Amino acid sequence: MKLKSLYRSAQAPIIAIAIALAVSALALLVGGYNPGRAFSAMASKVGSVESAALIVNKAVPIFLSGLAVSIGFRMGIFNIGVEGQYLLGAALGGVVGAAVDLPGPIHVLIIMLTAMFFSMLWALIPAVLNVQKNVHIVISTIMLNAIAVSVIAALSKTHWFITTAFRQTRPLKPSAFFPNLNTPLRWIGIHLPKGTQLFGFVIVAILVGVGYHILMGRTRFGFDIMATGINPTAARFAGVNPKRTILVAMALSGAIGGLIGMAGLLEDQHAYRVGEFPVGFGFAGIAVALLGRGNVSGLALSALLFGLLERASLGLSNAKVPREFSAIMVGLLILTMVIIYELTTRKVQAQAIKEASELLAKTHAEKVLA
Amino acid sequence: MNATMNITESGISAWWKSLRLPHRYMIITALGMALLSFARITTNAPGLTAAGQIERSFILMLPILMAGIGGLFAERVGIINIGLEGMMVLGTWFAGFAGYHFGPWGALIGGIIGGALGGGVHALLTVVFGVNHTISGFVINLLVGTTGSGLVRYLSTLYFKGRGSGSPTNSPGFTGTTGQIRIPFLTNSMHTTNWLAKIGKHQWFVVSDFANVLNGFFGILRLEVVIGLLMIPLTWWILWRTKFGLSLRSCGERPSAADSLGVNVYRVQILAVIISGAFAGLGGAILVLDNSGAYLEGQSANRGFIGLAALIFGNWRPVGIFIGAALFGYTDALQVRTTSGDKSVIALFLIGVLVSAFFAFRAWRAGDKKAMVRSSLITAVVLALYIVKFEAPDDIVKALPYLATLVILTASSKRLRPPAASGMVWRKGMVG
Repeated sequence: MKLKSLYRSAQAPIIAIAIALAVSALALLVGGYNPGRAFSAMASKVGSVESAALIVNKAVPIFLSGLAVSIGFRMGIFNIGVEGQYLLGAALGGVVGAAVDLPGPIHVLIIMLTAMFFSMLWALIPAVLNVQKNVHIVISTIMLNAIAVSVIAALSKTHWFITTAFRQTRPLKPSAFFPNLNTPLRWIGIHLPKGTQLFGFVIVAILVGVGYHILMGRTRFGFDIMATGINPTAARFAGVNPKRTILVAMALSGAIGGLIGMAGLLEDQHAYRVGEFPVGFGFAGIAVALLGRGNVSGLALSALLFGLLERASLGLSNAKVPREFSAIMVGLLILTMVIIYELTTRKVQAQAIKEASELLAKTHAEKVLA
Repeated sequence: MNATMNITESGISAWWKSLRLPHRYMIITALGMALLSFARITTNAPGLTAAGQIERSFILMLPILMAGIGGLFAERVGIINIGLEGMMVLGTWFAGFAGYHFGPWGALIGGIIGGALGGGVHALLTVVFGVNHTISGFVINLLVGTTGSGLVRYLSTLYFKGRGSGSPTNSPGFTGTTGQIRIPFLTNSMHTTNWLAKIGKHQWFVVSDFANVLNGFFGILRLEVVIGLLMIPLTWWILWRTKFGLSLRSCGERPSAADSLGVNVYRVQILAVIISGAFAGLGGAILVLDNSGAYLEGQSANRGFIGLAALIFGNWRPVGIFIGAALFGYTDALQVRTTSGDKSVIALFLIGVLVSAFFAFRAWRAGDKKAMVRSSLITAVVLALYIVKFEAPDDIVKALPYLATLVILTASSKRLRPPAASGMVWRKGMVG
């Protein structure tokens, strides 16, 4: 029984991946490339211990972003603003982190809290505009993404930033470095090559994921969010304050969003560099949330898949295919997945309706006979 | 005391309500002109209504207007289209491609085809498969590559790289334009005097500003501007005066009712969404023509989304969208033209003071204390910015169109009436 349901839930993603690969192969053929060579070149880039670590590193911010987006999805809000939120949080976290000098853990904590705070503030703007003035969240968050980029650009011209090859915040002191997991890995006999690290932030991501799972599945607040998403009117009659729920959910989403840039800031770059700091995690998070369907394990798997594709795309240049092709593969994958989810959901619903009506007819017939 | 005020208040609002829509639009435009003129003179910022600024505004308004009209076709048929941005990007790419091979008119048609292709994908997902509209739109944007590299980057690498000045991020441009309409004494020309420019030079209150607006329009009257503006009456005629328009709008209000009257809802929806994409693509093509015929990655710069904002601001009506697009196009042009030391932005603060003071006054008349306090606070802050002549950093000035979109949506989102079934995934046989 359990195996059967596992097969059922795996069925849709597998079909979607197959279709996406087939269409990608077609696109490669149109471009005059050899799909087989391109795919095998991609596959050659994954498989080593080093690449496994790099895939996980890539998946960490995308997973966190997926969580931030999913909170909105659960209540029917399409929050496109995670991109601007995490960038602003990371930039200001970098500024504050360079300005203070504290012992290790507190220094790290202060930077994380700063990033979460500003990211939350930025997320609250569209939330307040929505509940007070009914401003469309999709549009306001897109505008705020663009404004965030401008704010960071303006910020980078102040004295908090210095000029190296880029405009950047002053480098963080080692006390603000987040420890990596290379040493524990060595204890269990896994040796990463020099220069490669496994982000310690994996632990943070797992903790946040567990917290999200408990909050959404086991608490009243999680239930309120879901109820508001499914039927706002019914939720209101059940005593849920929809405005308050939107505000709290967006604040929470923003706070988690603040963590997205932290792995890059505290473990990799140790400064916020304009034009060099990794961007795009906010949008990747939406894609992951669409694939993962708001379920933590689904989100984690999708984030890892994204990390895998990102890593594998490095191999594309060996087959002389432009690297951008991986973006098309991601887009196609989500496109097919969204369609297949829709079709299977409808099939399941139709099946449920049929079974229910049959049951009803049967009990009714029994009553009549009796 | 209070009672008489309520009477006059209702008198003004009754008069306002008795006006027909076109008259209301005219009064709003006239008031806007007076406001601009006042701000220009008191702040000494001639750039505010300079002919060049207006000319840019007309061009930059068009993509937003086209996206807004595209959004109108989609939402009036009941389909939310946040994929407009992606369709506009497709429009820019196809315009760059077709323009390189077939010249400026090829660019216009190529843009329309590119956008329509994107609209077709959206129709397939939302109408045929019944996917959530917002998700479908987002996926299209992602696939096309509005949020980073995507389909357009791949296509550019294949077809633009290595041809002339082409690269993975831009197409080799083409020379030539669609042509311009020349009217003696109105068009900028070496042989005849431009009367409008002459009047504009005098800097008279309102008169000169108005002459500048006309000069900005007639001075270099490109054909694509004319075509774009003609789409407003055309859209109105299609949607409100033809049988197809009636079916289209009924699908967006009550699809089941339309279905029961024999309208093929799926077919009308698919058609309308493809038209929607075509408009967004046309907007993209206009951007390409304006950029000396070259496609450039990131050219659309969220204008598809701003078009959606114009649609909401315009209350899902063509002329309303036009006013919204004009507003956003104006700030867009201001952002492009403003150099440091320019007083245009400061003059905008003055307009902000007057407008927010008006809102405060109206709230006071209506007895809404909370709104009054809020508007007064905003007035005070903006007035302070104006008095200290706050010079916004250049980067913030660049964000002006986005800020304006937020502010205008916030100020106008009351009393709006979207199509009733907009955003609803309708399946045949469903109640609703």
